[in-house]
Amino acid sequence: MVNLLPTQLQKRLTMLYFVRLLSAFLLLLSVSFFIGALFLIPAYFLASSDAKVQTAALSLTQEAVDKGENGGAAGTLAFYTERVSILKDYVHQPVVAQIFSTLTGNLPKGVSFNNIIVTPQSNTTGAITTAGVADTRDSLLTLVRALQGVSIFKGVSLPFSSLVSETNISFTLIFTYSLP
Amino acid sequence: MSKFTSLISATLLLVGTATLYTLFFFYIQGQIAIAAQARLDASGIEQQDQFQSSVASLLRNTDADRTELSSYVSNDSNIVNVIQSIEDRATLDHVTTKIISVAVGAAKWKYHEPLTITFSAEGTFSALTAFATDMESFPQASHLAKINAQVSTNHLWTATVTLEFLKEKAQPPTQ
Repeated sequence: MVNLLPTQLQKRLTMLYFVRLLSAFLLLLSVSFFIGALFLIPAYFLASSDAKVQTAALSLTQEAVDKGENGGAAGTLAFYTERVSILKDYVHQPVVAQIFSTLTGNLPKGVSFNNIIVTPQSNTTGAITTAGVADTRDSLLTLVRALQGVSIFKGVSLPFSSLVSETNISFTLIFTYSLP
Repeated sequence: MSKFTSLISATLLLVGTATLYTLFFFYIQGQIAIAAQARLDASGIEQQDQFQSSVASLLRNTDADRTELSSYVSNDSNIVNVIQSIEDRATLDHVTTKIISVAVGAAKWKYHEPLTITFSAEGTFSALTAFATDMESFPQASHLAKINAQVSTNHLWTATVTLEFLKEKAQPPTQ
């Protein structure tokens, strides 16, 4: 069919057609959004009230817990856990008497101690420093050999400087002990 | 201009309804997230409360044991008794003592600290040995940190003894 309308008018009519078509599409889209928004209204109220209820419930729970008598229980448990853990480290068997008697029991004739230092380092180990005077080199060496023969003493040795004098020798022995 | 009126109106309407929809959507999403977080928090608090209840129950059941355990640990109020015990024990062992220092050591723990008591003791070698054993067997949580025994005069020995006691902190730490 031949369109007898002038070309300019044809173009104008075509443009108007598309403008109206686009307007109709946008209108339909708007209506869709509007209907969608209407459908969201119940969800809006439900979500609002649920958020309020849950927040209030949280506050009430927190209040109830805060007012409860169990508040410091975890802290008290931590306190006693620490105490029990530390007390294990404070279990030390008496060692001084054993060390003193072993030292004096191995003292040969002509040797005497004038200083004994015991420094326990753990339940079974520690350091010993002894100082004294020996009448002769032989008596001092006898003491050292006797102490070296004691199984709980480790690292007993005599400094060479202690052997300079022949008599009336002042000595210092530093060694460790390790109880079985 | 009038030929675009419908298009402009439709566009404005679309913008308005789309904005309305988007606002609703994100508001609802936000409220759902708030409710979910509140539920989660409440659940966590309830679990914490249940745990604390069980801990409280445990503490109630071990009350007697804890009291006995506490008697082994020194505190600010019984330091004087501890010192008195040392002096009493020295008297029994025929040893003369003199307190040199009482000091709280560097805190190694959260609720407890070491208390170091240093004192001198004078007596015969055997008396000092017995006294040292007594100090090592002290009924409270303690250990002998060092003993330095030296010959003094008239066959007497003088020892400097350092005892370390376990002491409860006076000021518990803030949680």
